Amino acid sequence: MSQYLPDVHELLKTVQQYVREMGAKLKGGDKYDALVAAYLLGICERELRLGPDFNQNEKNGLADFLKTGGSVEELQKRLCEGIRAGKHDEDWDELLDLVLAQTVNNVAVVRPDHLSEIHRPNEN
Amino acid sequence: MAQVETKSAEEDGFDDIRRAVTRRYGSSAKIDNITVATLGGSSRTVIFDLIESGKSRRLVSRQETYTGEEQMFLSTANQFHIMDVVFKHNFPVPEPVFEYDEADGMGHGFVSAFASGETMPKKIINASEFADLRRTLAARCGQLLAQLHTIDPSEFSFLEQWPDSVDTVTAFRERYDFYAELHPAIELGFRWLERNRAPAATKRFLHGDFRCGNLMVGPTDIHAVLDWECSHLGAPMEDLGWLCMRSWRFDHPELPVGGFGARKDLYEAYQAAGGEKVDPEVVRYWEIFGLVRWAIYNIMQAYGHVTGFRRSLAFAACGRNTSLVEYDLLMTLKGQYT
Repeated sequence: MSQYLPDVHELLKTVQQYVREMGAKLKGGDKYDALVAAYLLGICERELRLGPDFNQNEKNGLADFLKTGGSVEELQKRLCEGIRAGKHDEDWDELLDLVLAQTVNNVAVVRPDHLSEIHRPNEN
Repeated sequence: MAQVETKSAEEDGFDDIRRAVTRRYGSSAKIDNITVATLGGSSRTVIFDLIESGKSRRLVSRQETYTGEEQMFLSTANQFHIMDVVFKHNFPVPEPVFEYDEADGMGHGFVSAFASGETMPKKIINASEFADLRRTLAARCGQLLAQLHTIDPSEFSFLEQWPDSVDTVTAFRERYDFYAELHPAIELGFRWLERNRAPAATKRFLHGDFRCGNLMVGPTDIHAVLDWECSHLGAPMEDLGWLCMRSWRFDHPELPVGGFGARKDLYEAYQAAGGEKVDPEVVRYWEIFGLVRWAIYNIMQAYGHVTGFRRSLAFAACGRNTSLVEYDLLMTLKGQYT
C-alpha cells in the first residue's frame, strides 16, 4: 500500500502537537487528560518507528539465550517460566543483561528521557 | 489533588452527601463551597464546608467507586479505623469525622477533616518555597515513620489477616499472577527476592505508601500524611525502602530519600525517634520489592482500563509506564541505581 505524504509518523506528530496546544488552554482534569493524550500519541509514533527492529532484536536475544526458536510470545513465556523455576540462576548476570536490553527498548518507545545516559538513544 | 469543578450548594449532584450530613447533624446543617477532586483513581472525592450550629468546617468525603476482583487496597472502613487509631496517637493525619453506612446508600466511604498544603511531588522537590522544608524533610520522615512503627501493633489487629500483613511478597506474587501477563523483569525481581529473603522481623504497623504525593506539606513541616489504603503489618524497613526507591526520586536521583534527602538523615532520625536499627542492605531488599510492587500497581491500572472497568487516559498510560518501573528495578538490581 502506498500512501501520500504526510506519512503516519508525521500525522501522529501533527495530532500530538495539536493536543498539546489545546491542553495548554485547558485547566484541571481536562488539561491533565490532554497532556496524557499527547504522551500516548508520542508512544504510538515511536512504536511505529522503532517497534519492528526492537521486536526482531527481542526475538533474536531470547532465542540465543534460550537456545530455541518460536514466536516472541512463546519465547517470553518460556523465559518467565524458566526464571520462576530457577533454571537461569546460574546465568543470572547474562539473564539480567538480556532483560535489561529488552526493557531499554520498551522505555525507548514509552519515554526515552527516562533512560540513564548510558542507554539513551541519540534521537527521540 | 486537583480541584477543578466548583459548584454551589443549590446545584444537583451532591444530594447524597447532604442527606448523609443532615442524618448526623440535623436538618439545619448545610453543605456549601463544594469542590470535586478529579484525579483520584478508585474513589470519588468531594470537598465541602459543613455548616452547622453557626460554625463552618472544611471536610473531605471519599467514596469507593471501584472494587474489582483484583482489588489490592484496604476497604474504606479499615482506612477510617486506621486514621482513627493514628489520630489518637497525635500522628499528623486528617481527623476522621464519620463513616457512611448502609442507610446513606452511598456504598463505602468516609468523611474526614480537610487538610491544606502541597502534595505535588515535583513542587515539593523543586520549588524554592519548600527549600527550608527539604533540609529537614528526610529526618522528619524518619521521625514520623518511627512514630508509626512504635505504636502497639495489637491496636491494628483487624489488619492481621490482610494478605499483605501475612506475607506481602506472596500477596503481590498472587496479584501479579491474576493478570496473567508476561513480564520477565518482574519475574526476575521476584526470583531475586526469593533468593535473598530479608531476615525475619517483628511485625509493626506500616503506612505502606509513605512518599511524596501522600505527604501534605507546608513551608516548614508535614501537615498531614494521606492515603492509608496500603497500610498493613510488616517489616518496618519496608516503609523505609519504599520511600527510598528510584521511582520517587523523580529528577533528583542523587537524593535517595524521596528525591529530597539523604539516607543518613532518614536513618539517624528514625533510630533516634525509637525506630529499630537500620540495616541498609535490608532497606535495599525492600526497595527492590517496592519496585516490583509499583510495577504491579501499574499493571493493575492498565487492567482496569483494558477490561473496561474504569477506562481513562491515565490508566492506559500506566500500562506502558510499567516498563519505566521495570527499568528502575533492573538498574537497581545491577547496582547502577543506589
